[in-house]
Amino acid sequence: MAQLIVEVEGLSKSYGSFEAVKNISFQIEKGSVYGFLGQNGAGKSTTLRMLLSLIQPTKGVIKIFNTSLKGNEKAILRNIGAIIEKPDAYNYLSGYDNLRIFSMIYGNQLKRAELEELLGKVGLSGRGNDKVKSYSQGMKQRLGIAIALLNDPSFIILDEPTNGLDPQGIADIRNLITHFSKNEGRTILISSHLLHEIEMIADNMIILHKGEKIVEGKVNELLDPANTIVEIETNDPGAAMNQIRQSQWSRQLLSNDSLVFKMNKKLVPELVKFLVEKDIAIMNVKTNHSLENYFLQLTNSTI
Amino acid sequence: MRSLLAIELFKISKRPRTFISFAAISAIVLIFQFAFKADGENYMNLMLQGVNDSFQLNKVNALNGYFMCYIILNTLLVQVPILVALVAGDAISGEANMGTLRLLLSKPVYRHEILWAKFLASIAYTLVLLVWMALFSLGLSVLIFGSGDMLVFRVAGEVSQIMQISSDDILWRYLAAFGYAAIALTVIVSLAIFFSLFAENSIGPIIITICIVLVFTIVSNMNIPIIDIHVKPYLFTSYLVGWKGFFYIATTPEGVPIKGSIEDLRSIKNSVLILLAHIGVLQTLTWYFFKRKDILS
Repeated sequence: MAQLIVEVEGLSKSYGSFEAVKNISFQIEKGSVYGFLGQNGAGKSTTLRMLLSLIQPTKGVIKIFNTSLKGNEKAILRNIGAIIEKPDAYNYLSGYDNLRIFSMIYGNQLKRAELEELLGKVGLSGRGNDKVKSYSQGMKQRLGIAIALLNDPSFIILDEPTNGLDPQGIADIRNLITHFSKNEGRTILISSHLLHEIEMIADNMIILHKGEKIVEGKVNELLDPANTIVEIETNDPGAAMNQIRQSQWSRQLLSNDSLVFKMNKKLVPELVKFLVEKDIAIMNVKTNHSLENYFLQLTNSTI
Repeated sequence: MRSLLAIELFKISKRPRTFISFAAISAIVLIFQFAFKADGENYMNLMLQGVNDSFQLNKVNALNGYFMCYIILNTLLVQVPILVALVAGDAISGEANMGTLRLLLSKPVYRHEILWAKFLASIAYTLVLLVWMALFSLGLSVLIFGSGDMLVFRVAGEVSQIMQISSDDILWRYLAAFGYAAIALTVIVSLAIFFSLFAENSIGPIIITICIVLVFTIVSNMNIPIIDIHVKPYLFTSYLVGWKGFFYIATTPEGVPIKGSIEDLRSIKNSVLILLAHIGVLQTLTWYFFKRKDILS
């Protein structure tokens, strides 16, 4: 069995009568990318904050690096890098100054060249002297990641790291996370609203809804190809629909008005072949079975 | 801990609001000095109007740097708590507002270390502010107005009194007075940091601290017997002006000032102990709540 970096057992957090997190348990293996999914208010940030000792749990046990978090916060946090919600830094200080003061907490006095190297790693070369208030959201996100990397952590927690970023910024962060995991062997815990991003990055995932764990498992196992949504565009939709209705494919139709099917992805070539043999030209075939659909499917069914 | 203190001092030094206090103090002192240089003699005539017949004084020498400093401190030490609250009230709430509190506390530091670093940094700021005040109100005033024996006007109940302290008996009194002021202002620092704990922007704690100081100061200055007995002893503001006690010199039964003496040292000691108790209680409460605080900002 792979080494466990995080073991959470029966974790709960209540504010008065409101239960923000309800008795959740999960484990994170070393070197994996673990996705934390859920809508707003699902309890993701509360859980991540409890892992960082920012919020005290009402109940439950958190073990990180095989050590109980309670009473060992300082030693454990020494090996964790984190961005929680927004990547805030001291706006009135420069990027260098922000890195310098946080490196002092770890007892390091990083030299200018080392700081520049770190900034280069997150794509902020040459901007270290600028005040953070002049940074774009994407640049702040990169600086936040640089701050999280100051202690060379083996475990990184990233809460909504792609929030507010443009498509290029999202792609850059995704590549960076993949690099940390695959090339540097760090363990990553990531939460996001952009679920397709998680699908592209994470090995394992947990879905939270209203403070409860709905599902946990490996991403590829949770994506069942039998439930792929297939949308077909043809040169003659009416004729195509008639042919479908008279065939065995009608059972897979989701709607009587459009050529949308819920079916096993493996059967798509056969469906296309069937229509072509009926002299219907296929203009486009769109398959859609992302984690996002899976997530929405699960959360909608429990509302 | 030393690193955290260095970080806090660095952050304070980089915030523009830090320097508002220094600019305000400089402006007030310079205005005072200019006004007294231009029209100080008339002021002295007015103050000494009733004592001319019984007291032989050199009015020109009486308006010296030591006297100027005393006049300035009487005005400024009431306002300085407001300036101190500007920085201390921002200590935790400012971080919460910027979102850096969660960043700071997700690093390997104990919460009490952060709290102590912020407390010590705010005290350091207060001390620097006092040194600045001393340089401007005492140093510059002595340069402009010269030195000499110092007159202290005192109103106790319905009795007005003028005391004269010889020039070689003054500096240590100022040193003690600034030391006392540092302790008194540390109460304000503790109060502002305490309120800073519960807010997510610095306006609230700064305004609450200033309001408390203002209301308590007004009540402390009321001369109503029931308030004198039952309220004033419990207000920290009653002890903020205790520094003046260092300038109330003891006299012989014949009314001759005793050099190096203080009229009521016991009262000053009591005031210091009460202020220190306030600091202790406020710090303990701040630590208690901060340790248990969920960081939601």
